[in-house]
Amino acid sequence: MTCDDVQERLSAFTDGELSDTEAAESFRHAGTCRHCRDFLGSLVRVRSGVSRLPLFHPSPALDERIAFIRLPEEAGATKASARAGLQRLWTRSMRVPAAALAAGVALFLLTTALTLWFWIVGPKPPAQEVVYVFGLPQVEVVSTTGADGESERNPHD
Amino acid sequence: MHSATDEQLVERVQEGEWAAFAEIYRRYRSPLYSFCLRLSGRKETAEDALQETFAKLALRAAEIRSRGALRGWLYQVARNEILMTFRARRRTTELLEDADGEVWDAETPLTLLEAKDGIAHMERSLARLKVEYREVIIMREMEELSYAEIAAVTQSTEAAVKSRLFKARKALAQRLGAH
Repeated sequence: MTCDDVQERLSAFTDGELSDTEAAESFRHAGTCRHCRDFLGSLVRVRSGVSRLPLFHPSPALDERIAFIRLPEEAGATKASARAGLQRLWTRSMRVPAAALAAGVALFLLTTALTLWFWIVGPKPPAQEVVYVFGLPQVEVVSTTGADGESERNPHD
Repeated sequence: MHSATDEQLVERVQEGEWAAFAEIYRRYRSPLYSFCLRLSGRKETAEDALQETFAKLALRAAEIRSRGALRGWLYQVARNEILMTFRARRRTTELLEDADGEVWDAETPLTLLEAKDGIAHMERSLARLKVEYREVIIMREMEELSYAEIAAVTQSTEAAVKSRLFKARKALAQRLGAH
């Protein structure tokens, strides 16, 4: 095992990514190798130095650009919400007129049905005709058409 | 006050709750921006990558299903955005090739910062690492991602992560020791 191998293992050890067996072997080597012990010391300094580097922050302009991003589900939810709103509005505005409209249609149908019924089945008024005969007093002749289509005649005829 | 876990926030984003999306942004904006800035060395590139990352989160939150996957997913998307800008600049080949084991990259805008103290010196040294070394050391030291998470983000293996971390740390140790 070369010093490079050991140092790579020591690097992984500081990350907690080395098995106990590998760690034991590496530290046995480092115990007898000053070069590898020095590397372990500098490794700790490097890791500490990098981890203390500051965070950078994006500009407020980027925050604004991010604020314009829309989620597809959110857009879908907005459309569904708009549809539901329109449906609620439609239902609310149509509730009373719909009832009135239904009552009106029912009344119209009932009236039409009764009219037809009276016209077809109901009693008919007697047919009337006026016969003018010159020289004679006006006589009103009332005739009822019989089943054979003949009419009763005035006895003066 | 109890703050929601990443998993809970992701579920709420999947249900279309913008407030949960905003909470994820508030939680990750600075760490992710710092990662993007240190990776790219350019403020505009970092901000564009962050915006694209969150735009993709809004569209593809349903992809994040496993427990604890949000952080890795965000870093992976942000990293890909940065690498795409590198490709656009036709620099990818230079940055990703490591034929002769070279760890250091060319000077970037961040490396031009005045090194007035230890932190600035560390920042400058970190910025000079090649991107594949820089990204693993930032994710490990600053964000404390595990080897498995870093491997998932960088689409490599845990062994490769272990090796790159070692090389990056050794290079930094040598550079810092020399000053």
